[in-house]
Amino acid sequence: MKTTLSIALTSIMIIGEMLPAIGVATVAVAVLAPVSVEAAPIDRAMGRQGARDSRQTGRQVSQARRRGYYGLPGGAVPYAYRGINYYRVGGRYMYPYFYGGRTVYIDIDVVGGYPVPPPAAGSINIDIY
Amino acid sequence: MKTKYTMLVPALALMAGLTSCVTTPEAKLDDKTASVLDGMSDKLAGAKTLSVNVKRTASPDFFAGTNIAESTSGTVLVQRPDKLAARMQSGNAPRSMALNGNTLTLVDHAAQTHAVVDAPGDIDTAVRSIYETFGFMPPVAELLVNDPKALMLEGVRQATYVGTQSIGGVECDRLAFQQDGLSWQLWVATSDSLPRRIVQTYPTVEGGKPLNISADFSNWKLNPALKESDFVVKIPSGSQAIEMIPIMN
Repeated sequence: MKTTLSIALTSIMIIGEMLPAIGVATVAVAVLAPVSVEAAPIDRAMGRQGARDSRQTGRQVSQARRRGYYGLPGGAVPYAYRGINYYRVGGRYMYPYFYGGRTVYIDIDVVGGYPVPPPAAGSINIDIY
Repeated sequence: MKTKYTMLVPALALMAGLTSCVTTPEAKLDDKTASVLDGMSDKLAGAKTLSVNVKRTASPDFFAGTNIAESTSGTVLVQRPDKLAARMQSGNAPRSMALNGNTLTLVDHAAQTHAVVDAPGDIDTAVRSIYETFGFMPPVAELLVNDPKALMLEGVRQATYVGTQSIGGVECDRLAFQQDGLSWQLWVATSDSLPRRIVQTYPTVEGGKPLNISADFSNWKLNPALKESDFVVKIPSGSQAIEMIPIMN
């Protein structure tokens, strides 16, 4: 069974969670600055290498819809590759982000059996499963 | 079972206009509702520092992929005008977060992840900024900002005074509010004008059970002595710095 949960514009968090809004009217963010695509994930997370805006706004030119999960699948283990800390289970690689105040894990593209660098947060359109 | 969680926020926010601020006209309040809200808002805003215990319960499926009710509890501290810290210490998602006038620090202790993002300004400004960009707020921030009434009534189309009801043995005024796609209720103690419970309910789009989340408040302390260190979230050793996905995608 598949359930679709749609949240209206006034989505908000009451106790550290994304929730329907109490208050906070429909306010749109004005201008989101572009992000350095070359910056490594850790640098983006730490606001280094000109990636400061990615952690603030995440605006990115291209976007891709990706699956996200609140938990790791059974058997997932930490896996470091080229200085980036992924999680690996079988041939699948995942990388964590915060979304709605919670840690979510995104499936990472794999090329030649190895994970590609995680996308900038601003490039991610996420579906939570 | 697969649960898909679709965010309409980005599209709708964009429709609202990239440079405009759209505010729903404030609902007309009856005298009793206005009196209760004013009393609560004035009491909370008048305290230079605050401490409150929070217990939150979310119905099954409230969070995608979690088909059991979720409960967590913790403590929220405020020092006006620009500091707020929350430590949710129990439940299956222990997290800490703090606003300090410049940044928001968020730590997920279970996942061993953390993020620090810019969040300058007072609590109200920072909370709005975080919400607009990342789609969430620090715990019960709508009650703890410097102007709670103003924030809570934004988007409210209808407000009703329901009557009195006992919450944990405390007589409370019960208020009900309607917004687009959301209804919520608030219980405010008649004795001290402090909130004791808030419940939010919203319908699912496919005719399923309405989803709800509630928070009970206890052990309110107004103007307690707080230290600067109370608003510092320590990042655990080994925690991974990660990015926050914005909602404006």
